Amino acid sequence: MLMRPFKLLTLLVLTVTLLSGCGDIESLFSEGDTNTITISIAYSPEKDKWLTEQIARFNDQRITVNDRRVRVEGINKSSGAARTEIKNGTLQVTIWTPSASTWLEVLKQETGNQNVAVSNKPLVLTPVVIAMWKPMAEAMGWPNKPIGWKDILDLTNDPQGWGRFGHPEWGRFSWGHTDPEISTTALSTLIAEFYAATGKRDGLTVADVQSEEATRFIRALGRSIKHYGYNTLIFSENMKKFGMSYISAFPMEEITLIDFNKFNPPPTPLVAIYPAEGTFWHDNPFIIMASATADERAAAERFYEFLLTEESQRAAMSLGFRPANPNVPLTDPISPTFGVDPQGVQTVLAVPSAEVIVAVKNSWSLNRKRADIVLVVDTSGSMEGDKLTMVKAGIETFLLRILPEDRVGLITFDSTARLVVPMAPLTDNRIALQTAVQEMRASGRTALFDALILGKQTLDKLPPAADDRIQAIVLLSDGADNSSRASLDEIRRLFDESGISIFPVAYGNDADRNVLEAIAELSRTIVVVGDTGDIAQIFENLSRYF
Amino acid sequence: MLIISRTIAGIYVLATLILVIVTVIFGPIGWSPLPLPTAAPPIRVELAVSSEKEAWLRSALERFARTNPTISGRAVEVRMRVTGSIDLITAIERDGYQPTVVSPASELQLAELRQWRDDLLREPAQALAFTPLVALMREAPATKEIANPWQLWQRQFPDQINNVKIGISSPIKSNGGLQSLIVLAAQYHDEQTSLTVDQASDPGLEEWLRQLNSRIVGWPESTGTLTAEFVTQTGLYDIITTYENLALQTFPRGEAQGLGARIYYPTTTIVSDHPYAILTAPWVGNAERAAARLLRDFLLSAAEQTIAMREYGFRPAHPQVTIDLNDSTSLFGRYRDYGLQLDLASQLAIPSPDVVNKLVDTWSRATKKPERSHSCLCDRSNCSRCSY
Repeated sequence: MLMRPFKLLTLLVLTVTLLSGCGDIESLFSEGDTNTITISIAYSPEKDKWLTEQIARFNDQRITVNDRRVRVEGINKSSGAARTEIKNGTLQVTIWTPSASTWLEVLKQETGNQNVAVSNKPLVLTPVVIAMWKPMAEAMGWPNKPIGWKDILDLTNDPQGWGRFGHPEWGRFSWGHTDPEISTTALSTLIAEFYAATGKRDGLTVADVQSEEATRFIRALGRSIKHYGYNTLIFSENMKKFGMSYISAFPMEEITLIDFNKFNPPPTPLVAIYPAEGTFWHDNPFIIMASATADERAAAERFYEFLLTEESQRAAMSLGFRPANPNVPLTDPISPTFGVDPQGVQTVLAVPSAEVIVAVKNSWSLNRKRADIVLVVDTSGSMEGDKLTMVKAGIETFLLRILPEDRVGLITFDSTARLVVPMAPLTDNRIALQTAVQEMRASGRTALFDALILGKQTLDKLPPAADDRIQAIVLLSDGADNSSRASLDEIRRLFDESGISIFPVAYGNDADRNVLEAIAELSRTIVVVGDTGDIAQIFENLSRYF
Repeated sequence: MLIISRTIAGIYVLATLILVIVTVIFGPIGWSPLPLPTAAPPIRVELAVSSEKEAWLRSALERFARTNPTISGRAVEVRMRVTGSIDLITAIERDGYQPTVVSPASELQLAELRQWRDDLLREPAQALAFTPLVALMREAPATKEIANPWQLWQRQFPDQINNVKIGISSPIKSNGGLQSLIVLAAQYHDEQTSLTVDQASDPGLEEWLRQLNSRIVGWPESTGTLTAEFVTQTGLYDIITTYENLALQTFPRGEAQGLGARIYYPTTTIVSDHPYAILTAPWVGNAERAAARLLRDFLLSAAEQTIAMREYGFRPAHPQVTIDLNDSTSLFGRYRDYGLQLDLASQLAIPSPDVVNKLVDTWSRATKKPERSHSCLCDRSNCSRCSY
């Protein structure tokens, strides 16, 4: 009995003695540690893996500034979203590192504050490239012949499509484009397209952006866009999943291409085309915000020095970034083995003024390809309750996000499918759509496949528009078909090579995901879950496909 | 016996526990008949250096620390601050920065500091190394026909200049930019010794700089940044002006990524001497001064000068350290065929502060860039546009 308290006491003494040997015993007990300089860094998602590791390494080193320990906290935030939140005051950070300095110029222009940052230095680098399947690039003359946007335009305009290069089996040239409002790559690509349209390499003006010639060029290039998207990841995932039959090319950062070829590589690799007209470096700037105190600035400088060390830069290079530290030589994966050319960038376009960048961004809604969209909504008995309520909320959000010139119609289906609102420009039938959506009631069985066939017939019957359009069906359902005369095989046969994309939106835990996944697979799209998370965000993201 | 042993041990453990708890809560207690020896506080040397020396000095300071340097038994600690040469001086003059040693790229900046307070520089500065100003040009279709980029900057610009992207660092922020401006002005006037005030403020030169400005991609704030961008962001510049050592440092990476670039020298160049000046200031005590001298001697030692030459491309200040172009372990030997030229035909003298002021004014008017309002080179009796 005497032994137990004795042992406990001994253990306690030993523990306390050991802890006291650690030195600053006071800090072990003090909560919050007011003597620490905590600096925050908002970074773009492609740097997440690298910076998460580096922040942990830095914090472990217990680096001090003016005898105060420095601690770094990271926030993963896409460049466009971070700029909006900094502008609105909802994001306050010591350091901001978007993908490119372009965003700082946009922030300065939009806030009217030229002194929003105190310093701006590159952290890691990656150029914007056109990623193309290697056989297609080779058919165009890669790697011996420079390829540019004008070559892409010629291929887009050629009715022979890839037959122009001896490969009619590849069909027409197609590509994808993300939204420049949120994607740095999309913004850089769009600026590069305007440069190509004007034949300039610097000095792009607002007048250039608004010129008829440039508008014609951008719209002509847009004709071969298969669909849009809200981020690069969706496209690279689909390219890996569907291969060469999905799209021919897609503009992306070189690091994304390396990642595509390096991890879980597909049978056919992508290669980087550095556009002949020129491209941009994404410099991942380390921006110290003007709101930082003197100590925070000094701490941020120490963190920057740490990130520029050879060890840290080599870690970034292993992920596909090019080091900003000039003393770190390029090695794998910056090599032809992974589809890139270390010396690929020959011409760099001048970053235009903030005013021009904003004009380019604003031109997007004017020049992007218009869409014909059929909303196909499941109103069968299984959709009763929350599911249908969610569908109505989702469609309301969706209609607010798409362009007024887009033609939209509504089909509902239960035991049978019916066209409730015929196709018309959204400006003309917005009220009819909103009324019809609110009047939807759930009952009966599910004729999902029949509804898709009616959707296709509706699109086929549309009078041709003056411009090329994206044709799409947005299918909102729980997926359990039990009443159609048609089958999934028939859907597969009908939609193959039709050029119509189906975007299934799934509702409920009991949704028949297999059917919806099969539909997405045949259409080379993805299934979106419509009733979990932020409904507004889900439908905003969905609207960015058109 | 067992019970007695346990009781003694228990009392000891309990007493220790009480002592530890009291120490944690109230601080150290007890009495010692003899004072315990404590380490003397270290001597701190605040070293302010310009950015082109950063790579060498960071590694040199690690080697210095490994020698366990002491002065009168006190350890020597060195803290380095790196910035552009002109900003170093601005920080002292305007922001109250108090370094022990200042080592800008050139005597030009010390002349400015001397203009402000000559009492700070009573101890003569010593050159740490030498670096001539050069141009670096990459192989590209646009540069194929250019034999020497310095020939582009003639009084009458040749057509070739319209096809190339040129980068020069800002003369109001960077010593490299200021030296480039001096060499270009000398070239404009065909001057091979020293510029005059009249030459610096010549309207013809101003018009020539205006035309040049329209052909310049950018005037970045630091020559180090400009040179780093030249090699890391290929395609951004075809031609830049920079220091010879920085140009040499780009070659290993350039070689690995297939960037064909060469060094070109102007007919008359200017050489940076990287002065090491221990300030005679109230905040520099005798101990700090002695520590700063110890560091200077280390940096000027033959071993350290050899490292600076071999690994970082500096021309040595130590008379017994020579550059051997056959030494393939040195940057000079390894890249001897990249346009390297050890013998410089002629060198410009460092211009007087008056000439520099006029030249910067002329450049500012031509490029519509702000003048050096916070850090000017002028006689204090005639400083109407300068703010301190």
